[in-house]
Amino acid sequence: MTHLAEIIRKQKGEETVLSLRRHWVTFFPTVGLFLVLGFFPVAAYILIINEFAFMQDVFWYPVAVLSASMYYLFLLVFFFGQFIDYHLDMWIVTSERIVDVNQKALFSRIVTELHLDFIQDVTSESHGFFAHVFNYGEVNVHSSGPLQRIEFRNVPAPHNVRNILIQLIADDKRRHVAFNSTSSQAQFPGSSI
Amino acid sequence: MSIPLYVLLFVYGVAVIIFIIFFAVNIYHIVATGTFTYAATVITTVVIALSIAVLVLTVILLRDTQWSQMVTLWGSSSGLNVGF
Repeated sequence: MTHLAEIIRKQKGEETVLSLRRHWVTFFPTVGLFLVLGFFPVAAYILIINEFAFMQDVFWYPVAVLSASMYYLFLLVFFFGQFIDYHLDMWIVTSERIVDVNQKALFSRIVTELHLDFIQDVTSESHGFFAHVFNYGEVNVHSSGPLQRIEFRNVPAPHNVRNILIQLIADDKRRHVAFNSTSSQAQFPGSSI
Repeated sequence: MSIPLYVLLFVYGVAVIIFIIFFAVNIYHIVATGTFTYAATVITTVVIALSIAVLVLTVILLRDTQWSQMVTLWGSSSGLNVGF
């Protein structure tokens, strides 16, 4: 498992500008699902307790209790796994690059890196009632390189993110132009190029 | 065929071990990636608290169980017949 700092490996002078995760409200459906699943053993108990006498049986009672206990323990660990999946999906924007950390499953992760030099355009989208109320959406970054696109999914304030990215791209271009100008003057003193 | 009731505890014990392994892997993900946040701390605390509550409640509910009883799964034999 790689530490986040090793994944990003900032170069000299590179600064982290944004560190984004999916908006917290997008995790609520998962919480709701697990709350519903957690109610199943309770519902089964309510349905069965008044209908069948075997719940008082010396064999079926411990079987029912142990089964419910195992069900809740596995529900908790799977919920925790879903949270880890949500928590480790990150987008880090530095003054030089965008790093997309995509936790696909518990033992599966994809890290994509895109230098600001290769970004062609940035679009931000926000669709739906909840997306507008809680201000989250997608930011799509299109590249001129082999990597076609990086998508920021359900991030907070997508339009602000787009503005920041555009500013960073402009700053990056200015730095490179200034560097190239300085380099050519050092190599060819007195040149007007 | 008759088995002692405490066989169920062995099955439960295996399930608890699997739970602990997966839980430890999840904790390791947070620690190894250095992604300590307030949300991660809260969720981890809630999951630990609920897990302990489940285990404690299980112990309480099964406190009076006679685990040494023999259970007959099928065939005629001494012990409890569970009716398979």
